[in-house]
Amino acid sequence: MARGHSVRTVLLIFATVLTGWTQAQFSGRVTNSITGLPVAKATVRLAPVAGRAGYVRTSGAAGEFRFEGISPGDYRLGMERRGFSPVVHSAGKGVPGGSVIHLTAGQNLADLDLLATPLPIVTGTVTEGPGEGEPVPRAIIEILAQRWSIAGRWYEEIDTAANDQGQFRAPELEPGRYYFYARRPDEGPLTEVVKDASGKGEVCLAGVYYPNAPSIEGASAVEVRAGQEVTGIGLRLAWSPCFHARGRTTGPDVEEVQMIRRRQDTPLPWESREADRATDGTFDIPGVVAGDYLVSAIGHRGPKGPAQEVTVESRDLEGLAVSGENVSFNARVQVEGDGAPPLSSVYLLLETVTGPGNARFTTVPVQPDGTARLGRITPARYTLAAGSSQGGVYVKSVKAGPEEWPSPVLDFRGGSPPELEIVVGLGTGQVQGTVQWPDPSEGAVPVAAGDAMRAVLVPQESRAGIRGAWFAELDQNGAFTFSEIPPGKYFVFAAANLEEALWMNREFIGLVQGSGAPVDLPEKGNVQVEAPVLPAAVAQRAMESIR
Amino acid sequence: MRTAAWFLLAATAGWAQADCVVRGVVTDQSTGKPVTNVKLFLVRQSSREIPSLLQRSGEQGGFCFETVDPGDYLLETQRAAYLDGTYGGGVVLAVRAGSELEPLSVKLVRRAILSGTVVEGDGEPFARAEVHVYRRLRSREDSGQDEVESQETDDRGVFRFGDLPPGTYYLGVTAKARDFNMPLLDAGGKPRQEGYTESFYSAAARFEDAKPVVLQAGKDVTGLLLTLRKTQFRHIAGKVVGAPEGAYLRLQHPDGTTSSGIRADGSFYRGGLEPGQYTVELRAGNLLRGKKEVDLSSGDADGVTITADQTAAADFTLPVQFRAEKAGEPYRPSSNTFLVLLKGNEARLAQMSADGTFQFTNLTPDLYRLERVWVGGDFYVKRILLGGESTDGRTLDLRNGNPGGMQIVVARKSAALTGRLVGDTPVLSQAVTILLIDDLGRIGESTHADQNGQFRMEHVAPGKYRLFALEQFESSNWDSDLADALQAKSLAVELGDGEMKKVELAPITAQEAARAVK
Repeated sequence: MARGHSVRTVLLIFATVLTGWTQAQFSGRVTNSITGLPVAKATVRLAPVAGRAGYVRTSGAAGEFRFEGISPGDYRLGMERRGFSPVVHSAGKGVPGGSVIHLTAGQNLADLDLLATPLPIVTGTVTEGPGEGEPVPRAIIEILAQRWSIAGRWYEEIDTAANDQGQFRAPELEPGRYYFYARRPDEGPLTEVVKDASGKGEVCLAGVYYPNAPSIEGASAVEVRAGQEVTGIGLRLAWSPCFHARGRTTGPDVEEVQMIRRRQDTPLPWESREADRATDGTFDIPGVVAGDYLVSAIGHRGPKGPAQEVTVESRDLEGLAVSGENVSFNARVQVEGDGAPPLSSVYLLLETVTGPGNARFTTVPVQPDGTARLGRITPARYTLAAGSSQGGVYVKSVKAGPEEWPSPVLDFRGGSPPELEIVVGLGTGQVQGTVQWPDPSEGAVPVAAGDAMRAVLVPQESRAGIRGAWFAELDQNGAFTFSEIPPGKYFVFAAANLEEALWMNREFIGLVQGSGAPVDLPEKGNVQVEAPVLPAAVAQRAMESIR
Repeated sequence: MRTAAWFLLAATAGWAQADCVVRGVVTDQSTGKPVTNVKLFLVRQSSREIPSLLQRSGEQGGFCFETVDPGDYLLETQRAAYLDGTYGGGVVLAVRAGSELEPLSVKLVRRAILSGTVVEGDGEPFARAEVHVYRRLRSREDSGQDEVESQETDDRGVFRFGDLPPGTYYLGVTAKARDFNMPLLDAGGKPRQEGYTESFYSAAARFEDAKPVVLQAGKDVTGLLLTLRKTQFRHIAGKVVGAPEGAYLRLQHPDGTTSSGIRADGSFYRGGLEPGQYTVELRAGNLLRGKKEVDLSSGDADGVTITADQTAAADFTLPVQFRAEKAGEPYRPSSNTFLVLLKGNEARLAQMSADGTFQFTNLTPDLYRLERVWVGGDFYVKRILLGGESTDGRTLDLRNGNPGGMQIVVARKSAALTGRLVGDTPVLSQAVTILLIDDLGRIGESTHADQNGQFRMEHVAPGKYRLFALEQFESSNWDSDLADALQAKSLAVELGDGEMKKVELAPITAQEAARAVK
């Protein structure tokens, strides 16, 4: 009996030791990034990249958490707590947000500090009319963050509604700079266009930007910091003269005509008006306030035909001719390089450049004779890439007639472009490297130091057919790999907490390129590089400069 | 009554010298006191957008619209602290050239706030909880709950409903299930399956036991505390053998349907499921390729194996063509057109192609029912042909696939109906809805009577109907039983092609309709 007991004890110890060898451990604590106080009741998740099961823990009173018995593999770390950003940051030795943690058998990753960023709170009121004004129940508030794409500036929008007293509380904003725009509610009497006192003109409740500017040019951004409570954002709607835009639309399947306010050529889609196309092809859009607009025909699948720029001044806009004729894409493609794949295996990929998350992709197959045609394409701005089922291809050049296409963007908003001559090359390469940390003493930490750090590869010169930027996540050793990269000259950076779209802005890249590592990638090359960390102060100065 | 009449007279006296086409006085419905500075919008009823007229009520609540073009209008009101309203709940004001309307008595209902906080069991506020406001259904076909509004709590766990009319309400609260696509193991090595199931104010597990909240005009009900009810969800896990490309699992439960993806190796996991009996269907597009009954009443189901049926019949497409009955009449379906096929409880919507044609795609051979054809505009469906044969759409035999397409013959709505309400009230102060019910019990057309009790319906499809005039009509309460109960107060009408008919109709009061429901 005693012998049996000791055998079981030995087996138990053996099993425990074996588990320690074959499984990983992971522990640390969650703290408030501003106050440094522990964050209790935070849900910490380890979600497998490819496995079948993940792990979840709840932080204790001191913010502590501990994962034991983790199967080796790659995991994504997530954190969730009411009032805090879900983006995981880390202090000193930490884990880049959303990045992959590679856990090996027997590894014990201890004392990890996860910084929970308290979300800022923004509150305000929407009113209308003279004096103190009256609250506007259910007014819509658009919270706008300026972003960049390869084609220039755009705005990311989050909307919320005021309550019955016209008060609003901005939902779960990440720290950043925001513009605030308020407009009349989506339904109810305040949506009406009304005759003015003279009975001749019309007025409507016009939208307004903080601080009470009628257009975005007069708007001021509000800087919102982590944990900060910004109160008293007052937005006053005004009964303003508004006008009609009338005209006729042509082309098949046009259902309505839409006017979108613009800032130069950047559309501001939260300021839009539309009207149905009448059976005789005419349209009449009421309630348009003075300003610059893009007018386009809309079919049941979205915009059709070219958009045209118009300006509404102090009277109705008459006689608009809005074409809903389909915009088509036509190109001739040739493939160069040894072992080039057959043309029929090559395709072109057009991606709209409205911004990450909103991008739409259109694939244009290349025919055996080299033609690539699409009879109907949404009139928008696109970037162009080439692909092949065999991989390794890239766009080498894009010409319209004898001239190189002058811009990295294909702008089809003005109508069908001329036939393009596209040369597709064979021989993409790879750029691999590690992060060159500013302080070498931190190089030995088991996971990447810094907050939400990523590697970024940008072309030294932009052109049509080449992407604005590539991004790679770091592993816990700070290593990264960029694959399927066209040959050419690039800069490589390691950067934290910078939005992707910023890297599409060539002005920004011009300002920070001195902090990047230059790379010259030959055809089918494999280049090693050490990517310096972009100093936060340099990035901040560059951002201030391009605003 | 006499006081109100005197007040209306006094308040509008100020306008007596002016020529007011539309005038009246605005009062608080509860106190009867005048309400000043109310925005009154006279909104033209027209197919095209015509600017409205705006006036504000004066010191005694009086208002006057001097210049009003002839036409039909609604009078909408807006003022802080009051609910937005429409005069009489939608009475159409028919303004005719050279005449003035009788003075209107516009009553505003003071807004009341229903607010509170959602907390977890430990008292901690819960952000993004879903709070639902219900009323009890009074329909004879359904005595359950009718959702009126819903919203998510803010970062403080706070909810606030500010647009509810006075009435009796019930509150439900729940929160979305998380982590249901993979097991997330807790410290004990078990999948964490805690979630929240709907509970009702004040702490009821069932709607039947919910405590009513009575909301009176102007009397806020604040500080309500709703506690989320934790539950242990279940999961289903296993593998699919021979899953075709793009296949997925559909999990049917009496409370709803959900789905799960299948991993490349054929394995699947779906958590966040309420306990109960599930039918797990393996589907590729709309094709059913396998099925299994799974019982999650007493625990999780691991190791479920579903084998794909490789012999399932192929799906097919049923093209739908529209044409006008009258030769040479051009007809092109609008994008508002929709057609719905039903197989059991499963609905399929026809897809519109860029060229304006329609088709039902991915149909499996079976018996179907054409549930709905909506063509809108001035046309109605005159005839339906399936494979060249006429059909009423109630049973479509598609067991052998596409029988040769569907053709929908439309004709222009050519009949018209004018009428007036008979009764004691010379001027309507409550909206009366006129319903034209077809021989299948469906609402064919509806309109509102104007302030003089007159109404008209143009572009009506020829056919046999019953005509009802209902005060305070709510479409959610309308069903065939109610139609039967009120039949004695309705009028049978038959409209021929191009016919114009005049009728007289007695309105059904809200009390009469409520009695019929009970």
